[in-house]
Amino acid sequence: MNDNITKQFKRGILEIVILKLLSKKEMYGYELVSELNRQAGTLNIKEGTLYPILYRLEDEGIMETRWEHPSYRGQPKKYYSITEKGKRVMTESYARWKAIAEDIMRIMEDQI
Amino acid sequence: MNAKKYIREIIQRSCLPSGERKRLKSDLENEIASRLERGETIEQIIERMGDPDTVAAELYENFTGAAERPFFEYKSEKTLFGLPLVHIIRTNYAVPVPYVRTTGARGINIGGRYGRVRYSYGLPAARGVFAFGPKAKGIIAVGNFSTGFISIGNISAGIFSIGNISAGLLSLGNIALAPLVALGNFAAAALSAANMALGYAAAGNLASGKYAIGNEANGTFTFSVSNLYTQFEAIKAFISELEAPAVVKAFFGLIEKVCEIVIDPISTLPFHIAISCLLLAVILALYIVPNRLLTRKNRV
Repeated sequence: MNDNITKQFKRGILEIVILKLLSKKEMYGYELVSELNRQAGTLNIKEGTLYPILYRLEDEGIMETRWEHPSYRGQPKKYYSITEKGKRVMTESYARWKAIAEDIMRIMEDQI
Repeated sequence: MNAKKYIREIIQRSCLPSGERKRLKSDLENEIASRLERGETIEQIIERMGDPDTVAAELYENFTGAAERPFFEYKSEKTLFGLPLVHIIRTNYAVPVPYVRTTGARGINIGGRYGRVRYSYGLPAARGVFAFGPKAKGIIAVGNFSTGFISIGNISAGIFSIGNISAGLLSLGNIALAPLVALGNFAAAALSAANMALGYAAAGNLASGKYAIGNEANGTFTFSVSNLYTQFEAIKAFISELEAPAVVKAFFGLIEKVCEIVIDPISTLPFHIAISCLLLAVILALYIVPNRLLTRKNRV
């Protein structure tokens, strides 16, 4: 039951959180997972959750990717960054989420 | 388990469409390389990311919204040569297969707009000593696409292979290809017997080879049969007098036996019944055993 609720929460809010992180700087997959888990450890983000979201955002033009090939040695890295459309979506989504969260807080605090 | 195998396992078990698999493969390779560069070992990486099945299940759920992947699985705990003794994968048709939106570049483009197509998925392959599944790989593999030492399937490849389209050292099928022996509707092999047979030695309705026996026989040493009943003795004489390698003579010897059965089926009736019963038992076993194992597992 708790697992299910957590999953539902994650689904709803992860996109906004990812977009917010990417609005600060472009990141590659591992960097994004590490940053999410560092800043929001309770969400316990795994690759199985992150990548489907990244692909959906990329398909919708909210995010874009570029490959960076190292000049000397090492693995090429795929960087994810937010688009202009993504920035608008993030702002709108955050405003909506904030309104919902405020309503929920009001109800919950009244009940308590 | 090394990184390559870990990624392959995740991708195969994720049941995602090929486009998503490619993206995922490059992302996972990228991420694991980054972690390795930072000094993590592959064991630590697997521990942090999760075992392949858990990662794959999570990917499928987040990609499609469906909690269950579209297959049933049974894998025995007993192993032999590093393979599970029995591994069965079967499509779970009860799982609703979602529709996904695709773009022109990746799927169907309807009038330049986004289109919605039924999500097509790939199931993981069954791998075991006895492997049963839509894709099966094993010592004895039974499936739609099967590869193994003994391989039975719609499209099969193996040492001994039986299938609609089969390829192997010894193969039997509608279309059978083999370097040694092939039997089927169309067969091409060193020794082939078929409706249309091509080979070094060939026997059949249309037979073409250096040594050929058939209704239409083409080659260097040929015998064209217009009536099997009246010409059977002549065929026997042709085979016994043929100057050919022993293996060819042995092959034609078997063909002679088959002709004998065709001419006088009653005398070999007990043999026919025994072979038919054996085949029936094998087919029933191939159907019943995997079903029982899957049912038992799902009941548990």
